[in-house]
This record gives sequence, C-alpha cells and structure tokens, in this order.
Amino acid sequence: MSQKPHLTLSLAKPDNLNAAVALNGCREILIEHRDLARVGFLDSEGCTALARDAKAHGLRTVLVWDLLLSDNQLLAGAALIRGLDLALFDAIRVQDAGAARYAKDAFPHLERQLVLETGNHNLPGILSWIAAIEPRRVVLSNELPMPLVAQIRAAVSVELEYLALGRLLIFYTPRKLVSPVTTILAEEQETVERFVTSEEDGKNKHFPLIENQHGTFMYYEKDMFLVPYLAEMAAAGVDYARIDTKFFDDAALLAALQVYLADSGAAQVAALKALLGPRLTRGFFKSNRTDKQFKRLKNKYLAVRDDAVYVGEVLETKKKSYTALKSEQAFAIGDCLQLQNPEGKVSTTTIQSIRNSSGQAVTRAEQPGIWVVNHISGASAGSKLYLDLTAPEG
Amino acid sequence: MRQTEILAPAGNMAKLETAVRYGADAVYLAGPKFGLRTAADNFSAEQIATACAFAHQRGAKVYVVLNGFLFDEDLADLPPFLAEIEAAGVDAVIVSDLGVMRTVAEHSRLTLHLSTQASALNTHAAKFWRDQGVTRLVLGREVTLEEAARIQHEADVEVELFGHGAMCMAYSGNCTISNYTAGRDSNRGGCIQSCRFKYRMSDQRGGAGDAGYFLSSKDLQGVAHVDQFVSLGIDSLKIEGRMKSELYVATTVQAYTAARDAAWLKQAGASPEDLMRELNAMSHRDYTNGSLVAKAGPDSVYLHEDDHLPHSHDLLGTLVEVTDTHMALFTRNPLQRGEVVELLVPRQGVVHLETEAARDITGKLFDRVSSNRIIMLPKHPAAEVGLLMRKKRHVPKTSSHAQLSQTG
Repeated sequence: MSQKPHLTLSLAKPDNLNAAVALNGCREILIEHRDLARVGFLDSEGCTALARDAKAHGLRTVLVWDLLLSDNQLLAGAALIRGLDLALFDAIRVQDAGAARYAKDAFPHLERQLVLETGNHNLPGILSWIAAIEPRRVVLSNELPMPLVAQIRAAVSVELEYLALGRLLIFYTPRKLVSPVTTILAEEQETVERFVTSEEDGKNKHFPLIENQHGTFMYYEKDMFLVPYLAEMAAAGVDYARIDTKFFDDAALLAALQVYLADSGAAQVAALKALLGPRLTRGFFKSNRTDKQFKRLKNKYLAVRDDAVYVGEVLETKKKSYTALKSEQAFAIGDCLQLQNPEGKVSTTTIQSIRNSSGQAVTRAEQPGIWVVNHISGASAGSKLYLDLTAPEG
Repeated sequence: MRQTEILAPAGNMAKLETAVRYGADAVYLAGPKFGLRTAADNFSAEQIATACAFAHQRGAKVYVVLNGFLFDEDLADLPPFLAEIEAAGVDAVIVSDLGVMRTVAEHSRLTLHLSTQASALNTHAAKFWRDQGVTRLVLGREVTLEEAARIQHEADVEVELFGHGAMCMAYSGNCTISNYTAGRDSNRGGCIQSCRFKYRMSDQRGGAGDAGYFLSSKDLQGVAHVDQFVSLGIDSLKIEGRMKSELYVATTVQAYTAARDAAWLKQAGASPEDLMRELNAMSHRDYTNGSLVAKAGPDSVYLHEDDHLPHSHDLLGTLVEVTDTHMALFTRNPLQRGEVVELLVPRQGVVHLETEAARDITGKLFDRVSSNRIIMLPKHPAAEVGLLMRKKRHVPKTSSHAQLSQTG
C-alpha cells in the first residue's frame, strides 16, 4: 500500500467531528474562530468545545489566525487568543508577517504553522521565513507543482502542507462586495455566499464569493481535488494534506472520503466528486506555466534593437513626398539606413535629401532633432531607423 | 521632518523624462523582467543607466521594481541584472519576495524597499520587514494615513503610501484570478485585470442576477489629503500607473507636487478643488479617497459605469523640437486650426495657446491634422522639448465638467 500524507481537516460543522475521527489518516483539526480566521463559524465557546473534543479523540488542534491585520485588529485578535485556554491548542496558524512575529514573541509555547500560500515560490524565500519565524510547519502555495515541492522538501526540515481538497481562494479583500448590492436576509447576515459570473470570462464559470465581517473572499470556479494523488504528494514530501470541507456537506464528504481511502475505485471517486462543486481541478499540481505567455504581450518591433546603431524614429510620412523623423544620431545624405516598421518588416533606404524643421536643406543632420528626408517606402509612425553597417561604403 | 517625496511611475523613458520634468522627486521603473507589468515597455539595463543619469542630473531618484513573486528559475537570472543596475546607480529596489530580498542582499548593496505587494499592514509586520533589511515600506493600500504614521514611528522605518491611481480590490499579492483563469501569473506581471470585468451576481451557480463591476475599485485620489501626508511626515507619496499615459504622469505629478509644496511651505497654493479639476482632465475611473482617512467603504467600489463623468482633456502631443522661432509638436490626437490648446508648464501650470498660425512640417497652413503628425507653432518662452500639450475634449452638452467626480 502506498504511503499517504497525514490529513488536516477543516470542518463545516463541529458536530461532524466524529466523521473526522473515523477518517483514516486524519491527525489534526483546524479550529476556525469567526473573529480570527478568514472564514470561521465558531465563537470562543465553540472553538473551545471543538478543541477539547478533538484532543479527547487524540487529534491535534490548530488555532487558525490567518487574517491580514491592521494594528488594531492584531491587538484585538491577540486579546481574544489570550482569553482562550491555550492548553487546548497544539499550534497556531498565521499568514500575516506581523501576526507571525507577534505569535512567536507572545505565544512561544504554541507551535507555529506559517501560511506561505501567497507567493513564496522559491527556496531562499522559504528558508528565510523559516529562519525568521521558526515554524513547525509551512503551508505551501498551490501554485507550486510537485517537482518543486520535492526540491523544497529536500532543503527544509519543517513539515509541509498542501491543499488537497476544497475551494481554492483566489482573491481576498477587506472590502465588502456583496452586501452593498444585495438584499440580505437577516439569518444570513454574518456570512453571505453568492456566485459571480463574467461574460468576458465564460458564461459557465461561476465563482463563489463569501462575504463576512473580514471582507470578501473569491474562490476559483473549480474545486481543488487532489485526493487521487495523495501518494504522489507524499512521495514529493508533503507531510500534511489539507481537506477543507467547510463549504460542503462535511459529514457526507468525509464518509465518502473514508470509503475512497479504503478502496480507491472509480465508483468511490465518482461518489466523492459528486459531493463537490460541478467542476474540479488539479490546479498546478503537475506543472506551472503561467509565465509562458509573457513573451507575446509586447510588440518587440517597437523596442530599440541593441544589435544595431539606432538613428531615430519615424514620426510622420507622406507617400511619394517625405518622411519626418526624430534623430538621436547624426546621419547624412548618401547614408544607407535600415528601417524596421512596427509589423517587423525590414527594408533599406538611402538618404537622398535632408531638411530641418525650418525647411532649410542640409547635407548632414548633425544634431538630434526633427529632420525631413525623402520618402522612405514602407515607413510608418513608430518605425525605427538604424545605420545599415552591412551596406558597401562609398 | 523630511519633505514628503512625490514618487511617479515611469513605464518607459519618455514617461520617466516627463515625470522628472514635471517635478517628481523620484520615479519607479522596471527592467525587462522581475516586475508586475510585463506588458509595459519597461527598461533594459542600459536604459536604466540612461534613466539614472537623466534623473540624477535633475535631482530625482530612481527606484527599480523587482516585486514579482519569483520562482527559483527566475531568481537565477537576477544577480547579473542586480550588478548592472547597481552600476547604473539606482537608488533602491522595490521588493516583495523574501527570496528576492535575500538575493539582492547577497549580490549587491542596493537599498531595499518593501513593495505594497507584500501587504504590510501593521507595526509588527513593519518590524519584521525592517529586520529583513528593508529601509522603507510601501504599505498596503488598506492602511490609513494615521496608521502609516504610527507604523513609521513605532517601527522606525520609512513609509510610503499610495496617494493616487488605480487600486487592486484585493490585498495586493493576494489575488491569483489570472493565474487560474487565464494561465497568466498575476504576481509575475501577467495580471489580466479580471477585477475590472463586469460580473453577474447570483445566489446560486448560474442564476439570474444584476450585473455590475462588483470587484472593481474606484481610483484612488488623495490630493485633498496631501497636507496630512506632509504634516504626518509620510516619507513618500506614490502615484500608481506605469501603464498610464504621459499626460497622466505630467498631470498627477504637477497636481501632487503643487499640493505638497503648498503644505510644506504652509502657503496657500492651488485649492484642492482646482487640483481635483486638473486630475479630472485625464482619463480615470470615478475617484475615491480609499483608506487614506477611514477604511474604504461600499462607495469605493466602481459598480456601474453609468454615472461616470468623462475626462475633460485629451493629450494633443509632445514638443519634439524647440528652436529660436518655433516649436514642433508631435500630435497624438487630431487638431483643427484655430482650436485653443494648452501647454503644461512645470511648476507654472497651464498656458493657453492659439493655433491660427500652426503649420505642418512642410510649412503649409492646414485646416486639420490627424494624429502622428508634426505641426509647427510659434515658440512660447516656456517651451522645452518634452513638454506636453493637451486640448479640451468635445463632449456632449449633457455632461458638466464643472461638476467634480470626487466621490467616496
């Protein structure tokens, strides 16, 4: 039987802890307080009860404090945490650099789990975070494909975590984007869920939007589903796979997952998928090529080449009459110039006449400035002119 | 107390020269890689050296953005570039990724500024970044002026705050919509601006609902709060917009330096209303003061375009030559002979000019010229190569330019 990472779980309802306890490989419960976690449904009493129950079942407990915070919010969060029975928690999970630093100083006995899901795609950076915050675990970005995770694994000794099932957070703002434009029923005021669809981005892509007291969170239209790849994750060095069921029917989902982990057949996978959103993704689990389109974003022919002597740029041209250019380099009648237009077409021309902007004829355009020369075939505004060093002299 | 720096965007050399000519104390620009605006013209290492020479000669500083979230393979290309820009004399690099920071520290003596991309929002975060070697924090746009001043004081670090320009709706660095929907890494320069799309909102997947720009922020406009930047000792006021036009750069730099100078000298300068009118001259979304005074509220969301007031002016062109007798203007928009045009003169404001005597490059009078043409005008004493001219837009009479679009 292939090895799999341990599971760390976020529940929709604390009442379903038993389903987590029953789940093969589940080691840990994320305790999400509504005032400390980005999306949490529990008050202090609820957190305490869940932590106590989880520990009673031999599970580790993690207090999630993953908000980005102003000074006032950080102080309020810290006061709330101090009011909890910290003996019930094995670790605290933070993302904000200030919260991480604060947690290290103020709660030194709580293990730290550092969320590095936003960027942090290189080893020197991850090593620096580990040196500064001294976390027991880092939560890696889902933009890191497994081969890169394996490289990180080889270089660090802390635990590594990766989201394996759940919604993918792709946008986090402190601003409320739903309530100002929606009639909200009284019973759903604390946390509101909507879906947004863009006609520019495909009419069948419906992005979940969650608004609560901390702002608005947008999730990818496809849910992350890496459950069939748990063995690959373990092979790459992922210690903990996160199963985030808080937006789903967690009791049914965890039961289906338990069945799947015991027997990974097609029917079991299908049963599991049926409990998630209509579209699923592996994210960047296999590869990340999100920088490959960049070369096509710009017209390279508008840039000045560095392999030729730049004379200037065409500003205006009138067919069979003249071409006006702005020079940066001296040129003279008889010079052979190479022209490259914005479409990339290259041609050569010989300068036959030169006038300055006052209309006076000259034989040499000595100073940088505006010059009117004979019409250059193929020239248009923005074309670049270079000295044609390959032309025969004389 | 130090005078608040006005820091302007420089998407290319022409914009850099414009920013410096119009009074920016510092500019920020990117090299061919490592920044967040891959589609901008950006600068080669050689151009950065030229840019530094131009700016330093005029007393302005140059900061280079290296604020992408880089992968290891990207980092490998960084040290040679660092050597080139250090030799060019750049005054600081703006970084958001700890790995980039480490690489900069190991391979250069460049001064480190923290990018807003790192979303530093509190004093403890400021101390963290300070301990990593950062001397200045570009704070998150969610930080108020008062909070910024407190962070500066308590963490003993320079602070920079955005004062003007487009804003991400998300916490900077915390949006990966483009990565997943378009396969373009928003945090390495490929953002497709999904937050600017029109969305339909529904309570169920695919349900019916109203459409609007629910994820789009209004543009930040803090000219009325520049006096607070100065009185609170905020080190730098940043203007967003490396992709924006030269007219945008000139107009914003003029407005914010005027406001800063008036506040610094405690003199009555142009009124905020006048400066707002100037800022309404160029293309923009509706304005908000963001979180400068209080945390951005519902009225900071763009929502609908119906109420948007059009900008009052268009760029006419740039002066490309000035002789003893005439000045040559390269047009970016059409001009009818006889239209009144406006020359933007650094630290003086707007000079109105007649165009009856305008001629084309061949010396002929014209009735109308299109864009991408050179026209000759009698020389104005304040004219210099590189200055901009603008002209009023022809807008439907139902729009009123007297009304300001300051909101939020």
